[in-house]
Amino acid sequence: VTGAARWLVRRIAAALFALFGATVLSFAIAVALPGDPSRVLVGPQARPADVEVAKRVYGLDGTWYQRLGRHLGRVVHRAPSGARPDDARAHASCSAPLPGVHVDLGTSFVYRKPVAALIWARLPRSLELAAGALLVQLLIGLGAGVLAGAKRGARADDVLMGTALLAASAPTFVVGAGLQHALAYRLHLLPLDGVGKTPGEHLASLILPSIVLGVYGSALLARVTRDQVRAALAADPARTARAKGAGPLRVVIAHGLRNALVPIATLAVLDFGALVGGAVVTEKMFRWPGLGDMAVTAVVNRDAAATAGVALAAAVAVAAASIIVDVLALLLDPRLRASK
Amino acid sequence: LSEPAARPSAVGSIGRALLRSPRARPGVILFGALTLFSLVGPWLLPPPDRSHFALDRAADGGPAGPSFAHPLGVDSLLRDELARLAHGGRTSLAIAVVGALAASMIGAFIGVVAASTARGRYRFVDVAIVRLIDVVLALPFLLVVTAIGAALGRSDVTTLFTVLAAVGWAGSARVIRAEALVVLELPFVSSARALGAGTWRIAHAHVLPNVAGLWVVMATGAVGSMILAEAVLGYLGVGLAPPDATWGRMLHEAETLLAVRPLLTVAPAACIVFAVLAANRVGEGLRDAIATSRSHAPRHRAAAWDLAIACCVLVATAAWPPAVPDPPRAAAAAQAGETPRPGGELRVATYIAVRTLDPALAYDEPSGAIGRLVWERLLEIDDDGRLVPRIATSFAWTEEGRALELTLRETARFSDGTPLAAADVKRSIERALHPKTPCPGATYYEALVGFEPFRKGAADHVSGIEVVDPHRIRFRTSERSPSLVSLLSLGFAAPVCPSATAPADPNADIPPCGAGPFTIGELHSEEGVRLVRNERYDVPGVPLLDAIDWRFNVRSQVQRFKIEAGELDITRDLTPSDALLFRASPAWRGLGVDVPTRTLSAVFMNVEMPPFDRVEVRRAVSYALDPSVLPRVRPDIVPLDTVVPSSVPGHAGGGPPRVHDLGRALAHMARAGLPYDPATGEGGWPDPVDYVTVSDSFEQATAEIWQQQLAAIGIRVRLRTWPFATYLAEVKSRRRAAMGWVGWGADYPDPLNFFEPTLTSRAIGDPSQNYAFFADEELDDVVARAMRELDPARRKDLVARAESIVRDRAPWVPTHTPQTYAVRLPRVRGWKPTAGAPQDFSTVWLADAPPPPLAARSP
Repeated sequence: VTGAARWLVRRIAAALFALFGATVLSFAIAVALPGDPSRVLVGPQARPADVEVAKRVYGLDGTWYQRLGRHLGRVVHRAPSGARPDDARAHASCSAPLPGVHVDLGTSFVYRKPVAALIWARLPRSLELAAGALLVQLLIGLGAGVLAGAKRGARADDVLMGTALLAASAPTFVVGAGLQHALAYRLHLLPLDGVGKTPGEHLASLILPSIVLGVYGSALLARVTRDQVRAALAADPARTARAKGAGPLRVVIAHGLRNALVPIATLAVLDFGALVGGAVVTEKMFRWPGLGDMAVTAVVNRDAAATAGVALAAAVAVAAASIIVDVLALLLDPRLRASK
Repeated sequence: LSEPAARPSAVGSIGRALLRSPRARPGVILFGALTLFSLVGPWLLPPPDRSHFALDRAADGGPAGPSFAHPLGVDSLLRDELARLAHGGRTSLAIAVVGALAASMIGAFIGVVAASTARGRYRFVDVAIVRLIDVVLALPFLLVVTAIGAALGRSDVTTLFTVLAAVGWAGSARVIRAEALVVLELPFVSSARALGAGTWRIAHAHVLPNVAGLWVVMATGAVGSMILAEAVLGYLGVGLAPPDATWGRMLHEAETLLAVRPLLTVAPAACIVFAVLAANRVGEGLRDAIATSRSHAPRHRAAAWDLAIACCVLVATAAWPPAVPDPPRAAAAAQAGETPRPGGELRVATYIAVRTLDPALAYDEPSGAIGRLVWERLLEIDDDGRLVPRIATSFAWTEEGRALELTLRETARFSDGTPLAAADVKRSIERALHPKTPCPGATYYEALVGFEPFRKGAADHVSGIEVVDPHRIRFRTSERSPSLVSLLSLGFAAPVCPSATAPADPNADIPPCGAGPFTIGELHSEEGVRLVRNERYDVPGVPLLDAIDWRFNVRSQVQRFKIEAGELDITRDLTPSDALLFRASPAWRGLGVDVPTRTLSAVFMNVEMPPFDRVEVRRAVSYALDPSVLPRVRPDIVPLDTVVPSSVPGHAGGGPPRVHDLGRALAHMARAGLPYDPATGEGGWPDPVDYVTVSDSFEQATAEIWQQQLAAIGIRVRLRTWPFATYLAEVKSRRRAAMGWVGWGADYPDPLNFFEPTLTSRAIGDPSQNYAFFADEELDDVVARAMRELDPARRKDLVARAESIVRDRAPWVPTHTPQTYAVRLPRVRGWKPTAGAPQDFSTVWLADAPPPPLAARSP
């Protein structure tokens, strides 16, 4: 147990390093890229003198390392005593997870809000969408994969794998536009876009983007599942079980699926991590206010604080996912446990 | 002990196995056919980058459909679709195959190295790799891609390989590492280790062959995702420079025409889908060939179900008739003699993300339109240049045009009940000009006496704004400044409530209140704003609506769906092809209107950079460009030959039109010492000239047309397309952009606003608003005189003089101005959109407005 615990602590420490790396790297890239972020604030036609004022007000002046230093210097700091009248304004973009400690991811000049508050508001939307997409992905991918793997050579194999691959071969914006046109516009079955006002509407609005996002990932999952199940079913233990009279369902579940779980779980959980920050086109298309949508806006507008914030949030998701993958792998595959 | 998996001895045996496998054979044939088409097609077909402007538009307004000369029809820029498909195949297939191989090979190598070093002395290698993968996967894909694209500069095929490989390796490395770790625990690996095999030997002889199957799955899966990734890159403007075609870009470009020409979407989509399917089948065959231990698995004649389904879907989509707009629901027929009725809620939308509404900070169009309704302006100027009284009822110039006195409406008050007095006007303007307010237009008001010390923080007030009495206010300028009337019609000068903070806080959640016919009910900057009627508004009969629901960030396509479903009352953002369908639809006749805009698109030429440092070359370009072909590409475009569009009051108008004349253009090239012979293609300017524009925009499409037209006079244009922020940085830097697109919209309704900030030597700087770096003493003088001229007729003459200077010396070649096609539901009445106020809903009413409950109308 202690070995596993020590391993987990090391794993988390490493994840923190990755978070720091992602933050620094993304902020530095966003600042160093050619482009003129202050234009977003005052418009492309504003005169240079007005642009200068806007830069100063938003803290966009200075070289990239000065800005990076300013940003990092504020990420974690002590809370002010509150004695000075300026304190409230100076710490407007901070959040206080612990008493006396401020976390400040800066202010997004595109959204004109503290980055921490923005991410906090958008993270639930991204998690919902990622969970919905993962559900779709697992339903289609596992279902089709197990079926196709169990019935190798049957027509079902061809039809299932063909359809899954076909769905994943079309770009998201084509699948999305097609489904939106058919299900929402023509048949009025689902909302066109947005998040809805009531929980029921919210859930209904989630369906279309989840399908669009989930279908894409399901093909790879289906293929990996099929191959793993097929290999496991062809291996000795499954043959032995069959010879001892185990039913076909029991063989597929206990010997086929069980052995395929490690790569499937690896794929699924990593996908979830990537989906949290990566549903760019889908979020845009369905006006779903998540992190992917924010990432594009931030990068395109060279909003360094928001870019670093989204990168951090995505990094947390990916890092958490990869820790979960490793833990799952240990739980699911006894062979690995021996090495830890 | 299990045998280590055997590896095929030679490439030839793999090839034989591939062709023997019934699963792989159709894939090999299909992939081969696509490759053959891409290799041979370009020789047989017309050039892929030539627009056929002679073709007539089809009856539905879309580009011409299939014909004998163009078997698949022509694309949005009237270029042969089949030829572009063949050329696109070359790049797309090469990029996909090389990108996928590179990414998955790097991934597999790194994954195996990581797994092999996971135990033992070199553990730190594994740890470092895993950390690196974490960081790479955590970074936003867009950021990495944009960064690499920007770092490598030009976008060519090599750039794309690099980008795709650099982004794609991490995922496969993770999966391969996980699989390799499992393999390393297998009994035969332990045995090998026990027999003394080293790390390298185990990785080479045991791990690699056993992860090869998974690697092939990853690699073939990557071929498809690489084609799709390439489409995303094109979308971001870091793909191949236009006009080169790729399947992904063609698909993206056809998206806007999906409603009228589904074939243009289906053709590249079919190529992509078949290429991916073929790659998959080849991959399966490859795996069977490599994993000989599994060769006893049953073989069968696999029916090509995937291909069959794909064909059905594609044929059905291509044959799908254009989605003609449904007639408007709940049509309320116009009745003679009906009178405006109050009540009801108007629902409108914009595709723009509105960031702020505060009148001191807002500059984009929707925030201006919303602002007009909430913060009533001092005055407005209609499309004929006449003053429309708002809060100011009249104005008078005194002191030889150095002072402007406004008389204010005595009954005016803010929505919080405070009466509006002259001191509020002064306070509101000073709030916008405050040294800590990032107001986009503060320096417009620099002619005001006392502007400089106030803006620098040295004075508490702008001394040139004088409160004469509670209802009269005087503005003093250092010299005569007739533009001041236009400037006072802007939102920056609109009065805000006394409770407003100064300086204006750009991060405030709720903007201050104002004195307009509506107030802000609810505001969610991501979602939209709900305006409710201001019960304290003092002008009788205004507004008629109870509320306006204004959604932000709504895509054009969705706006179309919503107006058909009756969920939206007005849309101005239809895609060009949807606009065509609505124009042609009998059910929507009389409900659409073309609204001119006060914007200009032009081609600028940097007079400091060769070859445009020679005025004769610039003149040649001005005769070579022919904007009259633009309406064939998009009917809502109006060609333009003056700097100032005719929708701006006070434009010069009249003069002789600029003519497109290839002969004269060639003569000017000869006079510049660069004679060009169109027959042989010899002569002209020897080097390629970079043209800078915004990616994925209509301006990119026009650039592709200018490229064809300039090739006819011996100027070989190379297109560089950038996201907007990068484009701005490029064009504003000295000696960076030789030529490119320049767009300008009127900041305020004044023709000089098109010359003074953009073409005078005063506008040159670093960064420069004068993209052409055009310094001309005569133009400077004419503009300066016009700025001080109070007499409208003499001012118009000076504007005409400025136009003729620009036409003669050609720092800019004005090309076009867009129109907006706005559609409304039949129940919307009283809406008269103009170029100056396209969304003034203060007098709009709804024919089916419910009679309001009396209790709800209390003040």
